[in-house]
Amino acid sequence: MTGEDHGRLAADALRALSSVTDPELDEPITDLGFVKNVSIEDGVVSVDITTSTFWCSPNFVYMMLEDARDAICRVPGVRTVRVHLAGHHDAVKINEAINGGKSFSECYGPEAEGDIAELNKRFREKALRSRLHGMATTMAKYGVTRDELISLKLDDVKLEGSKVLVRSGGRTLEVADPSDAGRITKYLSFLEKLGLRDGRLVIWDLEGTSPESGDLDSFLSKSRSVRFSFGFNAELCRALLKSRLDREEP
Amino acid sequence: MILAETADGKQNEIFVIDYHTHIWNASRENWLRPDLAKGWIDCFYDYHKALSPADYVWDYETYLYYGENRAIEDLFGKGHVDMAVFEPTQLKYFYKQGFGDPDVTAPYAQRHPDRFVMGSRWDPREGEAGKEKLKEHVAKYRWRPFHMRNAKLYTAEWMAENGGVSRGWRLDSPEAFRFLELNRDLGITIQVPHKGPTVWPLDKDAFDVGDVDVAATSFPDLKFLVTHIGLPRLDEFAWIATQDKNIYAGMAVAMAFIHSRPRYFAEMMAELLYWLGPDRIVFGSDYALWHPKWIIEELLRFQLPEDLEKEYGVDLTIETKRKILGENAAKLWRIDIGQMKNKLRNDDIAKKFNLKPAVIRLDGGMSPK
Repeated sequence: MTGEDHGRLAADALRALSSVTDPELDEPITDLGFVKNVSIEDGVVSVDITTSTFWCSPNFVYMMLEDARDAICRVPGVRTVRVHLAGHHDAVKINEAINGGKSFSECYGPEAEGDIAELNKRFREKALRSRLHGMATTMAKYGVTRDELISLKLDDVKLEGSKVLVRSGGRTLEVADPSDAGRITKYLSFLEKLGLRDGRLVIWDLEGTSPESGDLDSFLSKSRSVRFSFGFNAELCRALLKSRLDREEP
Repeated sequence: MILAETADGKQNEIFVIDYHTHIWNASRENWLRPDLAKGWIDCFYDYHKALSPADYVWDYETYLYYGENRAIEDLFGKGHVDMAVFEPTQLKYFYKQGFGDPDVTAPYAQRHPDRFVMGSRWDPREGEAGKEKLKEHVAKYRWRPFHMRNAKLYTAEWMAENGGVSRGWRLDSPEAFRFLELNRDLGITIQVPHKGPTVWPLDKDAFDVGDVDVAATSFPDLKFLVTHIGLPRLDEFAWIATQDKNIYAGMAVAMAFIHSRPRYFAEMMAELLYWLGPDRIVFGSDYALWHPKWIIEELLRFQLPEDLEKEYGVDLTIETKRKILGENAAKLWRIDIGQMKNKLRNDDIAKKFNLKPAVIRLDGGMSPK
């Protein structure tokens, strides 16, 4: 493999990692600073990962590392992936299990009662609600009323370059501001991952259920708490990671 | 005591009770399992550095162990705190004498029973021996009627068990319920759950506050003061606290956002005021994680941005701040603020530090009176 191939593979691996989110924060692990290094030797991609504290919950760490491993495995040209977690109280145990292809319950045995699929689902649902709130408040900012929002179809929202076009109430709104457009596309990309291509824009759970219009306000108040919680936690994790790196690698 | 002076020149007396303080011992001689003991205090130190104003950052060695005199000076001498509650975190799997064992902190409260409010802790995994210990603590350490009214419940505590390690417990187990019944009998009415990262079983969310919900519903006569407002699960905390009126928001950790991340702090206050209202929010510095002085001063001067007041329909008035800083805790611990004001005006600590009510002008200035 040439140096150029290495460079391309490393870039592809990093791009793949940017699709992996911390389930407790709903932000890419690459943005959070958890990916410390990606290196390649003989088609083996090694990824060094750190967490913001020594104590981060093993179950969520496990989900992140599994997703990271699988995301890189899907990159063409990758033969083997080695994930290396450092500075965590269970690092040795987790590294061995992740690289040995074990499931969470195989890794933890009697310390867990079951697998983490249910937990994962709960947090994906939170992520959906958090993104829903981001999308809904952005729509409101552009004059979309609650009644209009609840009746919008996925078809009514179109991406055009970096802009989002919304067909609502007989007019077409253009959302050009990158952060505003970003909040809408973040929600849309979640629906796309769920495999939803048509139907109502506003959904509330992973089954694609839409709320009744009378329930929307209360749903949005609750999802505001979820979105705030994610944002607050992400900010705390960033601050802790910075402190930690200052201390460990001055 | 603080005299908070509003723009109209009116001075508002504020009595400060800090519901969450430690005098810990994380010195190297006390490390039992060095990796874990160091990992614990390093993480605390990262929190301390991440959110403290630069002038308040300690060096690492001081942080390991600062002792009684330093704590008295920081809390009461300089920090505007009138009374400080101990929330002991034992951690005997990490530290030889424990991190903040109640038997180690008890003499501090005995020496200053009107300043330090003695509290204990319990853990259902300790069974009958744990129950006896709790009874003994009540018998020995209730030097004032408001002592031994709170128990810190660190649910992620590690403990040696059957040759291995048990990494935590839940509040909704039958064993925990037996302890809650005993707490009721002993008059330990304030339960202070604190969620940490590793709680058995590991396939569940360690930070889930669902067990607090179950316990609070089953024990309506006990109060559940949830430390760091259920963070990182503020959304779930807000939801259970809306339903169970005996759940309170303990502001340790969350308060520290006020300095470097005021917008997050503002949104958090808006969330809490919206879901819980002003009567169930309780100030805590988590000293020595953070120094109370800057937190209290910044809280007094803090104004909720207009957009949040409008969106949430809430406000953060000086009356609400007074409740958060002292009155809400006084109700929980049945502390008579009027009586304590008189008592503390001339106690040995007031004399030692020549304490006078600090005048804090809410428009920014501050002058000692």
